[in-house]
This record gives sequence, structure tokens and C-alpha cells, in this order.
Amino acid sequence: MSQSPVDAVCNLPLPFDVEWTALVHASHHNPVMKGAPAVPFDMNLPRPDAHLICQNVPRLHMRWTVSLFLHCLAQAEDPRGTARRIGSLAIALGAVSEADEEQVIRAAMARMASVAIRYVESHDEAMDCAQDALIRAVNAFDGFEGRSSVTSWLHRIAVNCALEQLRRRGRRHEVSIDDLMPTFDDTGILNEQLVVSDDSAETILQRADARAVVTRAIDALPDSHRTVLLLRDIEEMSIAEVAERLEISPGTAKVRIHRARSALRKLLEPLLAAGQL
Amino acid sequence: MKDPVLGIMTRMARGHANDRQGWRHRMVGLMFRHYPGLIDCATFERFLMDYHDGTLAEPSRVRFERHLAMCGLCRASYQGYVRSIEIGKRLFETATGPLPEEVPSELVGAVISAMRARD
Repeated sequence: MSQSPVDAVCNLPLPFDVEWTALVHASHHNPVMKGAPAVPFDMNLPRPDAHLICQNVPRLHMRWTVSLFLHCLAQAEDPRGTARRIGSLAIALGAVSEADEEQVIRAAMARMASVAIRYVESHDEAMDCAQDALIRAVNAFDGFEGRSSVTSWLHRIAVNCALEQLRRRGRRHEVSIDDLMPTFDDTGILNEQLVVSDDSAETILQRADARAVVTRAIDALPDSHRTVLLLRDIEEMSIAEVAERLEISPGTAKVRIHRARSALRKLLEPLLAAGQL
Repeated sequence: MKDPVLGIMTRMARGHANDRQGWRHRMVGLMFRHYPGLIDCATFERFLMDYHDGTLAEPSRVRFERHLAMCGLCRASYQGYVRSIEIGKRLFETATGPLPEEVPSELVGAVISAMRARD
């Protein structure tokens, strides 16, 4: 079932206070609402009333309301999330105020480029992907069925554009990762003794430079392996989906995912062990 | 019913890799390879992904878990595999790639034109 713009706004995973403030603000300042019977709102109303207020804003003036909505979101504390939401909203609703338009697109492009950069090599390539992705999103919005959130829909488009970009330019960064695979002695027993601390992934990532180390390790993987790893473990696609996206057989996808994970384990060895890097 | 031989073997397998030239290590290698219901480390590594993804069918899953319980080397290897995946997930959950500082105006303009064209 398709999702109306009102539903698109209401279904966005926004913090309640931000959503509420934005709607109240929009209702107060919308010139169309002035003089009209006031929409009853109260800062203490439960969430479902946010939906009511949205419904009471005439569809024709949705664009105006959303621009205020965007303005309020921009004041939110989480700039990364905000940038993403603004971009999602702006594109999803095609409702960007004149003044904010460029800023919103800039933010949306930066966000989409930051998804694409995981797959492609340079910022320029990522930026091209972001542009393609946004134009595609604008053109495809009418077909958006609302099966997922607008944000994940946009994210998926950015990933698709990055994959296409990879395919267009062919493989560049293909080095062997055989050296990173586990080896076995003549009795068939594993050669390495890996040391793994009890620290959780979150704790490990809090160590100094850990994020940079992990990013470097993932970047060090060949394109063919890094891509399957990102699609499977980060985008959480099934093996069949990964295979389809990359136009390879499920068997090949599976082998690559396993090799990529094993290589990553080897590259993260110092990080997995207790103590400092 | 528990196989008493497996119990003896499990005790034997403890710390076997501390002396890779020793007879105990070789025995454990043979045992993993040939004793019914056991698998060697190479097979364990082959099953690892399916086990992690929950797609390893019986009886391989039982063999995998038996090896996991018996072999300290593979236990650490499995923990490292799982933890690496978690670290990757966690990293991208909390951050995307580096945000570009400057978005070229011509690219922004192209998107805006595309949006206008839809109006």
C-alpha cells in the first residue's frame, strides 16, 4: 500500500519531542491555519495527536508545513541524523522551501555520499553516486510504496548507485587475501592461536583509534570482498540478494563472504586481543 | 547417552597445541579427523559461516558444536569471527563514512533541476 505524505512524516523515526515541537511550531505559524478553527494541541498530548495535527494541515499547504518541520529538525541535537532526516523528508515529500532547498540538498548529498564512500574509492566517485542517487530518488518517489522507511529507501538507492559505479569502472583494488586465511598443520589442526578479549564490540570501538583501525581494515579488503561483506553484514542482505545485486552465483557470494570475514578477523587480531593496540 | 570416550578425548584435547611436536597433539589431530562424529579444524572452519548464519544442518551442527567445545584454538577463532562481524556492524551502525565537507554546487544544482523538472 502506498504511503501518503502525511504518513511519511508521521512514520519517520523522529524523537518525540522534535516531532512534536515541529508540528506545534508549524501549526502556530502556518498562515493558512491563522483564523481557522484552531487545531487543538497541547504539548502534553500523546503521540497519536501529532498525526491528527498533520492531517489537519491542508494538503496544499503541506509543503509549507514541512519546510518549518525541516527548520525545527535542523535545530535538533543530532546533526547527522538530522541531516539524514532533512534529506529524506525533502526528497520524499518534494517539499522544500525555497530558502532551505540548497542546504537540504547539500545535507542529503553529503549523507548519501557517506554511504557510497564505503563502496567506492574516492570522494569524487561517492559524490557522483550521491547525485545519481538523489536524482533517482526524486524520479522514483511516486513509485515509493512505503514498505520501508524513507530513510532506508534512500539508503538503498545510494548503495545501488555505488554498486553500479563499481561495476562501471571495473575492479581496481584486487589483491590476494590468501595470506589472511587460516592455515592448518599436517595433523589438520589450526595453526594460529587467536587471543580474543571478553570486551564487547562496543567497548573495543571505544579504544583509542579503534574506529580508524576497523575502517582501514575493511578498506584494505579487495573490492570484490569488501562489497560482499558490506552487503551481507552491514546492509544485512541475504546471500541470494547479495548474489543478485552483484550478478554472481550464490555459491561464489557465500565463499567471498566467508573469506572476507576471515580476512577481517585476521586484520583485527590486535584489536580483538586484550590491551592496547 | 554421553560417549565416555569423548569425555576422555575432551580432556586430552585441553591445551594440546601447547606442544605441537608432542604425541598428544598428534593424537588429538588424528582423533578429530577419524573418530566418528568429530571433525578436524579445517572442516570446522568450512562450517563456520553456516553455523554463524544459522544455516548449518544436522548432523554437521552437532559435530561443529562438539569441536567448538573440544578445541580451544577453534573456539578463539570462532569468537574472533563473531566479534569481528559485530565490530563492523557496530561501527557502521553508529557512523556512516566520513561526511564530505564540501558538496560541489554544480552537483547540488543538478539535483535541484531534477526536482524542479518533477514539479
